[in-house]
Amino acid sequence: MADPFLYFEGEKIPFTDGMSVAAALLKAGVVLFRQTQVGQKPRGPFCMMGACYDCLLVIDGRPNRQGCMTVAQKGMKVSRQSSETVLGDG
Amino acid sequence: MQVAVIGAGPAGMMAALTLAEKNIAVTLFDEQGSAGGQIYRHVAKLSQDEAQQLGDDYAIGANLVRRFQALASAEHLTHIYAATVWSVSEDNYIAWSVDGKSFSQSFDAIVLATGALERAMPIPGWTNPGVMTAGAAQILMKTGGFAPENAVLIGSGPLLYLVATQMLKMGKKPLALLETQSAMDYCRAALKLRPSPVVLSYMLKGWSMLRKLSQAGVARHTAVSDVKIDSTDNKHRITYSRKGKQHHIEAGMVLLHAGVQPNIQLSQSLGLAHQWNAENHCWEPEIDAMGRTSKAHIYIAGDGGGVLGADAAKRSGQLAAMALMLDQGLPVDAAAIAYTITDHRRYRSIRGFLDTLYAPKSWFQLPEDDTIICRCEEVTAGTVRDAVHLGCLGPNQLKAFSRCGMGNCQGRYCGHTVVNLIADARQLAPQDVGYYRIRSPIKPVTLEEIARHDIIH
Repeated sequence: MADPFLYFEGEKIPFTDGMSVAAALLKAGVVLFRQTQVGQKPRGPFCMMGACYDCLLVIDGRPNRQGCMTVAQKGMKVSRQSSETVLGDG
Repeated sequence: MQVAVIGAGPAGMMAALTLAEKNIAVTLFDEQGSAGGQIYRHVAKLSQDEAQQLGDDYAIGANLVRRFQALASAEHLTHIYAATVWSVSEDNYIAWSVDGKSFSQSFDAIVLATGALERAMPIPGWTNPGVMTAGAAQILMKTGGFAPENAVLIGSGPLLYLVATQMLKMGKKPLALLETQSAMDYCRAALKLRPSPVVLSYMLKGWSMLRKLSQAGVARHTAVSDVKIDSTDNKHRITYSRKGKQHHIEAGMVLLHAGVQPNIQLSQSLGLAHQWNAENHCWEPEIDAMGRTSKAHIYIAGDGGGVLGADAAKRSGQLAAMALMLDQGLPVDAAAIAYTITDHRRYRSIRGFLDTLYAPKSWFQLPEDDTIICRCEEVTAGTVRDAVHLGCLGPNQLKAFSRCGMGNCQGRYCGHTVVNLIADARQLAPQDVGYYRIRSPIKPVTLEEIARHDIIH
């Protein structure tokens, strides 16, 4: 059976069972996850263990989701988080 | 009696097992979907062959995780997984969040087993996408079954070699290791060597890893300093100094590692007594030989009480459980306590060597002014120095001056850099600078979720 996939910015990204959203994206070569609020600088995963909050994404419409702590699910809709996202949204 | 254990790594699992086997009701909270902590992450979900690919020390963790999982279905042991603990209050209430819904419950005693964090390595470009910690790459190998391609590893310490050899096993040979320790560090460290079975075992493992890297032809450059990373798309141009000359290398991914230090968020938020560890250059909680803290009914096990590694963590988990039972007036075999204390202490014998050889360097602990040190609020080293010149006395005042340490990670990755910068600017010892006052919630949670949280009686 083929691996299931999620959608990142509309593109199909495959993942294996138990993989985090961040791991699936990194495996597909995606490193840019968001723009920072203060300096509008690009960021991607740094610690992969839920401590640094640099891998924040918009997942199924909810912003500020930790990509490394969210288990990938079939059909999930994931997008980059812009610098305008307010802390506490979601 | 209701006991809570926070963290399902080796220390937390052993503490919970030791208590549950004595029919004490234990609730274990952990952020991951399955037990194991970072060290044994995902191990029980892999086949023996897959786990073995990442080494014996990893594969062996499956035994403990399976033993824990078998007992976690029994009535005395509850494993609340995918749970973020965001508060432990002074009256022993734990508040946690699972999938956007929070709960709180009061416990008679709490064992903190929250492990360690990789020391920050604030160098120019460390915030660029594609620059991660070496531990992050290891998590990708454990949970995703893949390793980064064309990686360059920068820093020092046993984990740098372990991750590099694991990458080799996965067919992704690192381009190079840029190591910060110098020939002088090897001499200083050699003087700290004391023969013991633990030391011998560490030396053999280290030698075996270095041999694998050398056989595979992985370039290793030591005494590297003043590293900078310029990134465009998925390409990273690394500039570094070595023996007075500047060098460049291009990488597909950059992995940083400068050792590990205890994760002190919960112990600090509880106001426990801490001490400065001058060897490992970090704050750590003051605990006795069994993990008792400065507060009654709060115990610490594993690397969160001082970095000694997974094998020591298992012993310290048992010790914290035994201390807890003793303090509750329950019988504990005195010989077992004495044996475990001695067994645990053995793991200290290698620390002097490792801490000396792989000590963090001032060129990255005291970065140049334009280097970002607080990743969340994007505060530079220069801003910290300016604040000190304006009269800022310590890390807590610095928050008001600059918002440094007030972002999502709550100071986890800037706390110690701030201590170093303020100590340097004020000509003080780090222990006289103190640390951030950590407050709940220790992880971001919405006000709505706090307001709507369920109290479990």
